[in-house]
Formats: sequence, structure tokens, C-alpha cells
Amino acid sequence: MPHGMCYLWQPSLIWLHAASDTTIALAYALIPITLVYFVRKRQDLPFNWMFLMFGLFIFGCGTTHVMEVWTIWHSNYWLAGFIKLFTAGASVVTAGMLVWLIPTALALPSPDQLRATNVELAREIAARKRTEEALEQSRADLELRVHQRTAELADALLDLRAEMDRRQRAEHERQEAEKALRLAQGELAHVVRVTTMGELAGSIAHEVNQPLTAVVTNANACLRWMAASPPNLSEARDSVTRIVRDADRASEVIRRIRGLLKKAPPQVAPQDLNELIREVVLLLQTSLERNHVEAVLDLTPVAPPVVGDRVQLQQVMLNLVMNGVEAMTHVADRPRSLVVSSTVTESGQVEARVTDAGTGVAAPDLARLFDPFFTTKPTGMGLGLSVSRSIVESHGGRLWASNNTGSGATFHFTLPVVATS
Amino acid sequence: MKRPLETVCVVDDDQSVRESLASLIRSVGLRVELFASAPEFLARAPSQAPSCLVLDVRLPGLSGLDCQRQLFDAGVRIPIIFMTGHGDIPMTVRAMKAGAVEFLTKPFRDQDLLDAIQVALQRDRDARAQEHEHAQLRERYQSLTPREQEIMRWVVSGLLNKQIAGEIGTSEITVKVHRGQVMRKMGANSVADLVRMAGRLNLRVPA
Repeated sequence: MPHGMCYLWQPSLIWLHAASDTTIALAYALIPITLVYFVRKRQDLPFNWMFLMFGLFIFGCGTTHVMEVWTIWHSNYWLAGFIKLFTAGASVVTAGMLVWLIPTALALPSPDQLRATNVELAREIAARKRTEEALEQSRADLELRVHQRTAELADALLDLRAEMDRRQRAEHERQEAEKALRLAQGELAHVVRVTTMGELAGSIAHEVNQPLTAVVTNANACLRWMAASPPNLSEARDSVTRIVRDADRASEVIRRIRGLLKKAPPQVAPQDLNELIREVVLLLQTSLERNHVEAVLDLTPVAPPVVGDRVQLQQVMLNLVMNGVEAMTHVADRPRSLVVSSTVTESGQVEARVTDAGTGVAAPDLARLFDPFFTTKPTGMGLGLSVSRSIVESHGGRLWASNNTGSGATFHFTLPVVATS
Repeated sequence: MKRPLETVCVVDDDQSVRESLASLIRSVGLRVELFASAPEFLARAPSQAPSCLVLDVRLPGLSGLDCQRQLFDAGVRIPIIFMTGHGDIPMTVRAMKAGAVEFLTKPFRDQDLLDAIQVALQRDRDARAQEHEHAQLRERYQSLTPREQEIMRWVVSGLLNKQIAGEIGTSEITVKVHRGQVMRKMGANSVADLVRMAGRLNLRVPA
């Protein structure tokens, strides 16, 4: 039985329901279409599937209204019922979903909030822009300052170069001055050496004159032995043998002295200090004998070589030994003994000592002993020790004096040994 | 050689010089004794034969000049020839004043040395002869009695016999006898002779 029966087939009532339901259905049909269109256009909208659920539910409602109109004339109530069931299901699901969704939807920012956020953002952007501008400004400033600084640095570099040139020139001048000083020191050392040899002249002349006298006398004796009748050849031969020996001795003395008088630029080479000491003592043998001085050598068995100029180092040794001999001129109550020793120090240097048994050095003189032109001798120049000290120091060593615990004084000097590579 | 014992002593500290001098001196037939130092020479017993000394001035220890003085102080009158490497004038003067025969500078001509040696030996011979004579004279004087010695002193001071008798309180005859004894014992031929002898004996007039 169609539903119209219920309306008693009254046309006006039927039409009222039919028209109203149809209008509702049309409206309900339009809404889902609009929603679908909306969702299609606004993919970014949160929960757009909710709109589709609404669309489905409204579409369901629309369809029930269509079925209301249909059942006025047709009694398909099962179909209408199932459609209503579907619509009910869709409604329940949509309502459930809506309830579930509301807290989340409430959390979504409102347009006001969004506007405020926007304003905030705009402000932030403006601030950023200002910061950027400031940054740009400071970058420009920085660039300017870098330019300025670079210019300053370039100036400073020029100054530095000029300063370096100046220093180099000064260093060059210093080196030149040092060279001149060394030269002058060498000259002075030579002068003092020659003077020392002058003081030794008597002794040296004697050293040469003795063998020469012997040579001349032997030669004369030889002539006489040969002039005898018969000639005494054995004696003549002995005389000639002695002539050869004595002439050799004279030339040896001259060779030694010439070495000391030679004016040559210092020649630095490894030297054996012991050898040097022995040679000097030999050269002064006559002086030692005449002054009744006994020289005692106490040399280290192994003397590492020292670096230096042979003649200059000999000069130092010569000076110290001569001073020692002179210091004992008036000594009569004890042996005039002069000990020349060499040792290797703990620091690996070689030390030479000349110890006399003289009167020692008065305390105030001990400090002035090495001053130029300071002398305690009536005929001394006062340069020997001063020059000796400058020689030793130019060799990287030290020269000093000390009084002995007993009588006399000791002069020490150290020299660095050759570095063993 | 007629005087084989005449000896030349050489003092020099240098062996070469010593040996060469020895050879040279031996080549003229003289005897040589060598010494390396003055004390070594001083320790040697004085030679009985004429001798001379060739002495180096510059010697270690005792110098040549010191040696000369010590010899003089000891009464040894050996003629000395000095040698030196370089002789300065004061040193030479001192040596010569002290009676040195010669002062030679090394190296010297051999003839100079040999001549000096001959002079020195001659001087020593003369000195020895004189010394011998002097000794004889002293011996003779010592053989006089004290009275004779007294009278001799008065005679040589120029007094006459009568004056001497007055001085010593005796007779002129006694003085004359004593005087004859003195002339005889002293071997004097005249008063002048006796005066010369008294001079050499260094006699003084009695007080």
C-alpha cells in the first residue's frame, strides 16, 4: 500500500509532502555537491574528509526524502527502510567522528589568532629586514674598515721594510766595525808580541849567538887542524861534525822565533795545547835557566784539540810564563818553581794553568791586572795581560788570576775544545 | 911544546861553545879543562902550573863577574879572559878594572882569543915568577934575628949607623956588625938594593 493512502490521496496534502520532500531532497543534493566541490578546491583544509562525511550523510538524508516522495505512490518500503538505515549509519558515523574531531578542531587556530600571528610575522619580517639592513650597513662598514686596515698594513709593511733595511745596514756596519776591531786587536797582539820578543831579545840573541860562536870557533879550529903537519884529519872531521850540529841548532831557534814574529792574519785551526805549552817552555829555556827557574810540566795525558790561532795562543802562553819568571826574580828562600799544567774541566773545556812561587798579586791589583797599561813592573808596558785576555776571549775562553794558598799566583785560561761531529 | 902543563880553563854553560873552544885551544898545543859553571871551576884545586881562565860573563847561577870576585877574595890570581854574547861598557870596565886580560865579544876571531890566552899565560908565568921571588925574599927576611930585622928597618929608612945606635941604645960597632949580617943574609949588594927589597916586603919604619 502506497504512502498516499495515509494522506488519503488528498491531492493537496500529497503535493504538500511531495513538494516539500522534493525541495528538501534537491537542497540536500546540492549541499554534498557543493561540499565535494569545496573539498576539491581546498585540498589544504584540515579534516576535509569530515566535509565529505557530511556530504555523504546529507546525501543520505536527501535520498530518504526522495524515497518519501516515491513511497507516496509506490510501496517500496524495504528499499526506503534500507536507505534510511544507510543514512542512519552515515549519520551515526559522522556524528561520532564529529564528536571525536571537536577537540582537535578546537585546537585549530582561529582566523583572529591567524591574523595576530600574521601581524606578529609581519613585525618579525620587518625586524629581520631592519637587521638585514643593519647587517648590510655593517658589512659595508667592515669592508671600508678592511680597506683602511689593509692600507695601514701596507704602510706598516713599508715601514717594516725600511726598518729592516736600516737594521741590515746597522748590522753590516757592526760587522765592519767588528772586523776592524779584530784587525786592530790582531795588530795590537802583533805589536805586543814583537815587544815581548824585544824584551826577550837578549835571550834570543844569546840563543842564536851561542851556536854561531861555536860554528866560527869550530871552523877556525878545523883550519888549524888541517894546517898542522901532518894534518889532523880526525880532529878536523870532529870539528866539521860539530859545525853542522850547531848550525842546525841556530836555524831551529830562528825558525821558532820567526813563527812568533810573523805578521799574518789569524789562522784558526785545531791546536794541541800541550804541544803549544812545550814549545813555549823550550823557547824560554834560556830565560828560565838564567833566572834559576825550574819549569815543571804537568800536562793532561789526552788533551782534546782546541780551536785557535797558533801564534796568538803561543803569545798568551809566552806572556804567562814570562810573567811567572819575573814574579820570582826576588825569591831567594824557596825554589823558583814554575808549574805549567793542563787539564780537561768538567764542562769539557781545556784549562791551562801557570803557577809561580813568587810574591803573589796584591788584592787590589788582582782586579786591575788585566786593565790595559796596568803594570807592576818598572819596565812593563802593561799590555801583555790585557792583550792575552782579549786573545783568549776572542777564542771563546776565559783568562783569570788567583793567589795560591802558599806563595805566588796562578794564571788560568780555558779554551773550548773542538766539537766532535 | 916546552910547557906541557900550562892549562887553559874554559867556563861556559853552553856545551857547543865549550867543545869548540876546547878543539881550538888544543889545536895550538895547550891543555884544556872544561867547566859548565863557575862553582864547578871554583871547586877545582888551584893549578901548580901556569894557567889562565876563559870565562863566560853570563852564566846561570854564579855569573862570570861574581866568579872573578870570589877568586880575588880567595887570593887566587889566575888571569881571566872574559867572553860575552853582548858586552856592555860598564860590564867591560868592571871586568878590566878587576884585572881581566881581555874582554871578547862572541863570536870572536880565533887569533884574538889565542893571543889573549898567550898574554894571560905570560902574565901568569910572570906572576908566578914574581911570587916565587917574593917568597924567597920573605924567607930571607924571616931568617934574620929580630934585632937584625929592626936594624934593617932603620937602615932602609935612611938613618946612619950612629943614629941607629942612638935609637936602639947600643954602640955604633954593634950596628955595623948587624948591618953586615943583614946585607949578607938578604943578598943585597947595596943599600939601594936593600931599600927595594924592603919596599917589596912592605916594611915600615919602627915606631
